[in-house]
Amino acid sequence: MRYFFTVLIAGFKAHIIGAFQYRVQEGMALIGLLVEALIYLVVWTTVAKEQGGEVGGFTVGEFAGYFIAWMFVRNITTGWSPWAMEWQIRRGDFNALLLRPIHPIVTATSDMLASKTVAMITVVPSMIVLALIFQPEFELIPWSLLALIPALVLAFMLRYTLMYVLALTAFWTTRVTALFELYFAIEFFFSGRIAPLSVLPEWAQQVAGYLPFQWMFYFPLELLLGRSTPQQAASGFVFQLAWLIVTVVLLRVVWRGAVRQYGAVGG
Amino acid sequence: MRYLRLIATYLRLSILNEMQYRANFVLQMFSSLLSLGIGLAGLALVFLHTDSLSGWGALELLVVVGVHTLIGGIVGSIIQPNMQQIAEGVGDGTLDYTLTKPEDSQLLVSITRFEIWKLANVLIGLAVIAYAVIELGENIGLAEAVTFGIVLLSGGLVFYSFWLAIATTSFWVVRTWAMFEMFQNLYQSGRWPVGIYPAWLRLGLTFIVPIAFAVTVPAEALTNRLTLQTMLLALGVTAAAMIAARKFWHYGLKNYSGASA
Repeated sequence: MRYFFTVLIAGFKAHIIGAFQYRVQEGMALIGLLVEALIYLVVWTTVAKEQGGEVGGFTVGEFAGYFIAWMFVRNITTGWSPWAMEWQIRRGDFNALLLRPIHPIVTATSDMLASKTVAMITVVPSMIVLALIFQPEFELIPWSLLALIPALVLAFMLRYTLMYVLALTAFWTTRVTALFELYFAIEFFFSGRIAPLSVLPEWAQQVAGYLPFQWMFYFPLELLLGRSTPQQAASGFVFQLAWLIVTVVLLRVVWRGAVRQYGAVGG
Repeated sequence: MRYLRLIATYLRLSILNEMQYRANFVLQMFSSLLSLGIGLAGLALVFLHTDSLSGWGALELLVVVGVHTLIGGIVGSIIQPNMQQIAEGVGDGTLDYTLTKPEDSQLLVSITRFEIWKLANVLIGLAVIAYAVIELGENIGLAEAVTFGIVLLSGGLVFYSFWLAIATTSFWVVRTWAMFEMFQNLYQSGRWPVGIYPAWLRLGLTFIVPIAFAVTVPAEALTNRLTLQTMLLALGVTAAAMIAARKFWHYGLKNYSGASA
């Protein structure tokens, strides 16, 4: 166990140094995040203003709060892109990771923790600037913020497992890009990224209920904004755990198939 | 005339090259239609709750989406590949082959690579514009069509000058791709008319990254909101940008010692 943490911390440090080396790259990622949040913040606050101040249960200030908090939750819940994973598998970089005397997941985790820490250095000040400009309305409720921590961890794990499953499809087809794009398009609408789910039409909200995406994004976001009741929070955790079990089982099945597929090509 | 022949030759070479990868057209079409679908669904969602956004109706915003897709296709198929080629050419020394050719260097670096499959976006953009304009039923006569053509061309040229200026910095800076990527991110904001953004952002999207001139102004021309002042401003900015970009390119060249020197 101590060995595990030593490796984790060493990897964390190495990656932090690396991230500072690639400041430009990190900066670009921040601008991407900022621009997207800003576009939808402006669009939805404009709509709310023109509709007399409220749309889908959100006031102008609450929309501003939603999209500012959006940056924070998005930075935490996005992990490794399937593109990077696919690249590693195809180029064989993955083999090198497998040869190390520590599971690849440890390296991946320390990398991710480090890059999220670095990103927060820029994300949080941007959020403060946006808050000063757009006057958000939100409520910081202690129990809700406490519940946010496990919700973010579960949201991250859920999304991470799903990304891994998606990346593994690279073993079957080389045309994975189209599949990834389709996935991200669906996630974009049903996770609460384009707008709060309460703004979607009735049927779409129902569809969202059958999909895992809101538990990876919208649920922690609502907790951060103090918009959930304790009952909603409790059922949210049940959904997160249930979906996590489903995706982990899916990952195991797909992984086994993928390895067999790989062997068939290599043999 | 000779320049046109030159462009035609390079274009033919690019087409022959890309014809090897015909399946890419299907993939590109899928990806373009998907991205259009996202844009349309976003519009539908907004107009579920309101009839107009800062004075723009649903069909008028559809024109904006169409122009955004169209210009995006021009950037993706013509401007970006060539400008990336400049940055790569400085990196690996292949730019020297282009520079030693006895033709205008700016012209040559701007026509070496075309990604014709990305023109799918131009076709889709035109289709969306045509649909929206017909549905709008506004009087779009020859005069409006010509005005649209002029401001669209001017918008394309302003983008080209902007990209050329960025690509020119690769004589000094190594990581120009980061700036290309930033452009892609900022360009997303052009799906909506720049008028909806707060003043400071609007200024940035007009004069720093000229998205207003490339997307919003042509869309204005088709929705009867283009004023003569705006049009003259757009044309003036385009002319200034082209001259500045050319001067900057020559200044960069003068400071460039080549890869083999």
